[in-house]
Amino acid sequence: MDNLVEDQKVVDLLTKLKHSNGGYPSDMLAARRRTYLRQMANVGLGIGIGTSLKATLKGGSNGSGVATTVTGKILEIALVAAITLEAGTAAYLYREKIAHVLSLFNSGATAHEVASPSTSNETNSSNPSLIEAVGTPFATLSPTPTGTLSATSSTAVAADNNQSSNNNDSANSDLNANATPNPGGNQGNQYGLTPKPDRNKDNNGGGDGNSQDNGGGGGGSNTGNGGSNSNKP
Amino acid sequence: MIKDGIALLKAAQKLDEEALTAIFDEFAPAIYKYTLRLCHDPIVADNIVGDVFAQLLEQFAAGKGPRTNLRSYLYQTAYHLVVDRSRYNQHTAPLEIAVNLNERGQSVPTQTQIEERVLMEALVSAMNSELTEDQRHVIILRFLEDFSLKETAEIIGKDVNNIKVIQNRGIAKLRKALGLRLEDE
Repeated sequence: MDNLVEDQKVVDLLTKLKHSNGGYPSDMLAARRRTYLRQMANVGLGIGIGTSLKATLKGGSNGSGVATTVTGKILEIALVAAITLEAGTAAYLYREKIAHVLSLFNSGATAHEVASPSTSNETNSSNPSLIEAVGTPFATLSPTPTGTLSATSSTAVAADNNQSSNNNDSANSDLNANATPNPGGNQGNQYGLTPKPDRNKDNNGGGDGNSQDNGGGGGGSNTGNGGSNSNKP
Repeated sequence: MIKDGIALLKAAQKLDEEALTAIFDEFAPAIYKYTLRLCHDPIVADNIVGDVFAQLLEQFAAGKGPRTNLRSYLYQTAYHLVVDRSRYNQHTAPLEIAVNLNERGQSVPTQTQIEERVLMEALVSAMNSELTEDQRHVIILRFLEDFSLKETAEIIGKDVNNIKVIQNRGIAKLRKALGLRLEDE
């Protein structure tokens, strides 16, 4: 009970304290009010523009709807006209570059036409796809000056040199056996498909070993080599 | 001149200059007083008043802001600004500045006035030293700014029952601190 009375006394004191505090100093209040009015003017200016734009975009459901529709159409026409004008101006300013680009497109097609009429060897050497497609079937028939075919022909010549000059038929059959096989429709990488030539063994045999090994067999070394080759499976 | 509070608020939401000026004239001194009680520094209180009304303008400009109780909204903004500042620099100046400001122009005080002044200073001292932060805010809002329990709860952001408990504990602390003096009276 005493606590309640004392609490009420505290509350009364607080109420007195409410009226005892100082007010806003007039000079500070005036300065603060000026600042506030300036902020208000700035915010009001920005908001005025913002609200008018928002109302224009919304189209308006009130009485000014017709006016805003007309305004919108006028703005749309003006926008299209401005875009057209800008595009025309840009085309006029960069007309030389545009003409240059167009001429590049046209001259590219002409250059292709001029380059096409050429000799078959030039075409083969300049176009790698044609080398693979055309050059491979000629490998067994006649050596051509292209890189791939010349390697094959040199192999054939070396084999031919290693073989006896008398056995031209057997040398030709070896040459056919050592030629690049038919790709079987695979015109891509033929690496590893080329059979190893037997000339390595021939060279070894033809130099020292074969003459000694085949010596018991009798006969010349060339014929002995030929016989050993023919006995291979 | 816009008199009605709701009409004033609606006009202010449309950024009516007259309404916004009327709001400042009506609430700026009270906000200053409240802020001065909490931060004890006239310049800081003045800055907080400026921040409160600048935020109000920003809220109105963004289409937000108070819808019903403008006064609670302004005090709530001031409360948060004061709390932020107190957390920032832990400023604890005595409240005597606020008390003395009112007594500059007075002549020689009587005996009763002196006793009352001593009691007031003891009360202010107890408020500053004995009460917790929440208790001080609740006591000031409830008894110095005349907010209801519900409004105080809204401003501080707590439940009404919680505000009641905080208030009772705060008054009990003040009673204990002023116990001897109150008994003498």
